Amino acid sequence: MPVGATSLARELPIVLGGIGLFYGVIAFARYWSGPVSSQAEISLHPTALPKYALFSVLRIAIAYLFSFLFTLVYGYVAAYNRKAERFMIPLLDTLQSIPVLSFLPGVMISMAALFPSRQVGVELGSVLLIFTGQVWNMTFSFYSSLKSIPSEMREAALAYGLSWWQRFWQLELPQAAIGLIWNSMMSVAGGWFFLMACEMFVLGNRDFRLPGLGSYLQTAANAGDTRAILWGLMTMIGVIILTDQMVWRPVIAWAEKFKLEQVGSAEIPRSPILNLLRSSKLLPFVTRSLVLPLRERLNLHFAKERETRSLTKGTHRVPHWALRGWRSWCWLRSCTRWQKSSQSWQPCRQRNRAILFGARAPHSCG
Amino acid sequence: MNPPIAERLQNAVAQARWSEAVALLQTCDAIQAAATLGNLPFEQQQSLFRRLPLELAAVVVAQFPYYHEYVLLHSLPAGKMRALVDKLNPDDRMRFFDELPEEAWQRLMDELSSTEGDETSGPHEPETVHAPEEQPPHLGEPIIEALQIEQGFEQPDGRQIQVIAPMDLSVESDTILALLGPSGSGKSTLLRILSGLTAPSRGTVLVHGQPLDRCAPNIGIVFQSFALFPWLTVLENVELPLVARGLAHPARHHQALQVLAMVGLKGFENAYPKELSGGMKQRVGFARALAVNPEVLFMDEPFSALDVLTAENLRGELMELWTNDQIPTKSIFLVTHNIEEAVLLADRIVVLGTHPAKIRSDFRISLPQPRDRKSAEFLVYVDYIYKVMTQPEQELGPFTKLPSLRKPSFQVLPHATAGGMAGLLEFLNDRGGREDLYHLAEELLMEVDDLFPIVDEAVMLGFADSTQGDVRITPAGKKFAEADIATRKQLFREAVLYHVTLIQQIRNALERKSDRAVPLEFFRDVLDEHLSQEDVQRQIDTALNWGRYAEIFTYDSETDRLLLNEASGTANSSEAVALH
Repeated sequence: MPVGATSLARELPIVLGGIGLFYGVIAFARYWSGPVSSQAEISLHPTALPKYALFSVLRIAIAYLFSFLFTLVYGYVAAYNRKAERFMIPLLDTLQSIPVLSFLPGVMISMAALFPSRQVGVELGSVLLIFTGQVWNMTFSFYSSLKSIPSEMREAALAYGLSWWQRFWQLELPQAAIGLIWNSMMSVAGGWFFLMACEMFVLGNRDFRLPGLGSYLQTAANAGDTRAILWGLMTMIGVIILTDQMVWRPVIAWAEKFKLEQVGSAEIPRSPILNLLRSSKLLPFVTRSLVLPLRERLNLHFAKERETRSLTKGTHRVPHWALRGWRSWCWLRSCTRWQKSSQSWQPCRQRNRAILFGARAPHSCG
Repeated sequence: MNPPIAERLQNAVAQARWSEAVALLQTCDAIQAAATLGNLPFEQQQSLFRRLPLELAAVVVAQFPYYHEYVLLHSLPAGKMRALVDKLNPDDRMRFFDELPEEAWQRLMDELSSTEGDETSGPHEPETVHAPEEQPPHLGEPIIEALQIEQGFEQPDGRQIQVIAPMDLSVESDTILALLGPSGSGKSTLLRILSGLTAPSRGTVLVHGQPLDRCAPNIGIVFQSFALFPWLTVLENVELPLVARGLAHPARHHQALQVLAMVGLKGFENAYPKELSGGMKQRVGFARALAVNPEVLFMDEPFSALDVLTAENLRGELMELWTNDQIPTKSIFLVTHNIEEAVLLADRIVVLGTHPAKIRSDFRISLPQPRDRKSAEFLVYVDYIYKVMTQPEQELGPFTKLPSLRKPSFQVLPHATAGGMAGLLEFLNDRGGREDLYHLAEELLMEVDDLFPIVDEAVMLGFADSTQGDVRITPAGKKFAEADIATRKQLFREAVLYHVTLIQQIRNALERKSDRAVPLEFFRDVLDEHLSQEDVQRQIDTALNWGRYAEIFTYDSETDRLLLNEASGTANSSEAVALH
């Protein structure tokens, strides 16, 4: 039946895409948990490019994910905790002015020490370096979106007793959505910008070289191989364009509904990928059977929890566990450092705090 | 106020024991009776008022503010109303007519002078005898009470600015309360304090007797700018508070659909707010507020952002839902700057003053729904509110009389001459400055009525006071009485130019003419608008008499013209006016 065939044809790309993504994640996880090989041989042959491109993309994607999570937590705390805000925002401002390469030694050393025998350590170091180039503008955007929620909507949320969870998903995150999307695009571009420096660098007497597009380009440049450089550049541009079409355009088209406008605009961005996704029957099915019941369960759970608290108290406070969790993680890290280096407590705590925030690490302790 | 009497009165009225109620009222004095009567629900007030004997009714009704007096008078049949107005104390009657706005006064005059006198033309008396178990609606218990709340903001330089002065406000059940005030008067802040969105700097807010911390009130809020979430559909917007309450999907879906049908948005469930017009967006706002069956519905200028027709439509629908008991809301708290909207919707109006916000007036509207914008009673209330809002810095109790803002375009000059007033003042001065009018009339072998115009003239020009049948000379009057003729003329001239509009008008007109002469016909025409023929003539005579005495102008009877008396010119002073 022709109808059946066309609908199946529409589902096919989505299904294939889903399977491919799944396979890619598995393969990457296996590579990361493999034995450490920080000095990979970078082949300058064009056929190695797809693999290198995939690795780079995955590193950037993971770094972006970390940035996103950091943004949500940091921005939320800074926006709603008056006391924290006073030092968090200047701190953010300071950190974003520090060049990425200054973070390099500290991050690499800690990561390598954390995972000495697995590939994960080095890779994580590289990912975190990319993270330090991506996260700051997203955090600022999220923070400013939270601060500029229209007061009447905020009051409506307060008056109708929306739980923290519901408020986050239905007021704060949608309000910040458009800002976050455009800043994400900028962050990912920043990731490409720093890729070369983050994948291949010399630290002390160690030479780090990770398979990826950045190291390919750097190796080609060192060797003076113009053709290889051109191949590398073309691949990079190709990947960027593909990302733009497959990821950013649909997301921007979808985010139209978050615009705070009173009347629908005449010109809206369109995306064929989004249309493909929207016309699929598989996605709504998955959403309905998995995502919606889960969301429902969470909403109701937080609503019941909210009933026991009063109206004017407990509003816009960062959830207890989030703040506590962040603090305890800092403490835990400093504890680990103290045990490992068996030096005095106080100065090491300072150094660990410095490492945590990526400032230039003092090499002496005590 | 004597609580036992008030309670006994309420009981008596509730059980339709009218004679007993009337007897109770007769035992109190006028102000107490008026206060007690005023606290009854309006239908009962009317029924009781109709059964009062005329003397008592005349005394009691005069104690009420003029808007209430007007409404009470109109609850009587036409003949009885006329009789009652005649029975009123002349002072009270004069004041009442003075305070009424022009249109209402006009209508009242028409009604009083109509020759029908048909008893059946008045409102029919609804024979509502309350069965003992059916309690008449009492003046609702407070749901939310704010006690001595105060709000201040801290300036950057550390100073505290007080936005809301300490005040008490309560939201009662079965009432629509409208908070009126100019912009910036803190009414939105008050709404947020009462609904628990903001905490006051000082004072407490009680909900059903419990402080706000422990018991969040079940409220709905409708905002001026709709405050809808643009990324959610209409249905999701309405379901938002229901999710917050923990309702499962089928129940809340059904409830949301029901509420949307009630506000007239059936079929728009999956539309996004940006696809809707302003009126529809506000309907969604209403639906969201009503979805949780709130006890109190707060509205912050809900119709200000809509066009006139849509606003009118929504108002009508809201009142329909309210009067037909289709919504379980017990009370509505409306903040608005539109006076007509407040009078149209509200049962109780609180008028705020600014800098800092304080309650200027708090009164009830005794008109049944639906209200007619064009009716005289409606206009009387609107007029009262205008007066309150334009009278700055005045403490207004429930029975404070307000001076009329309606400056009459003419004053009626009392028919008395300057000489007559001079004589009266000399007499008073002789007697030590104070005398009872009736005694005075007796001694002079005059009718009191003959004395009145002269006394009125003295009062009008500020040379005497008249209080409760006594005439008292003022310091200015004393000076006049003791002065010689030239000084008298000077004093008279100053007083006349200050107090008498007609003579001011004549002088202004004369000064503006280059030849300093105006035909008298001009002023006859002006007065003709307001007075009958013979009255016009009398006014003119009086004005001429006064003007000549004061040497402001003269009259040339041959050319029928008024001529300005130049300050330096003494040519005309030789025309000594015969004083009689």
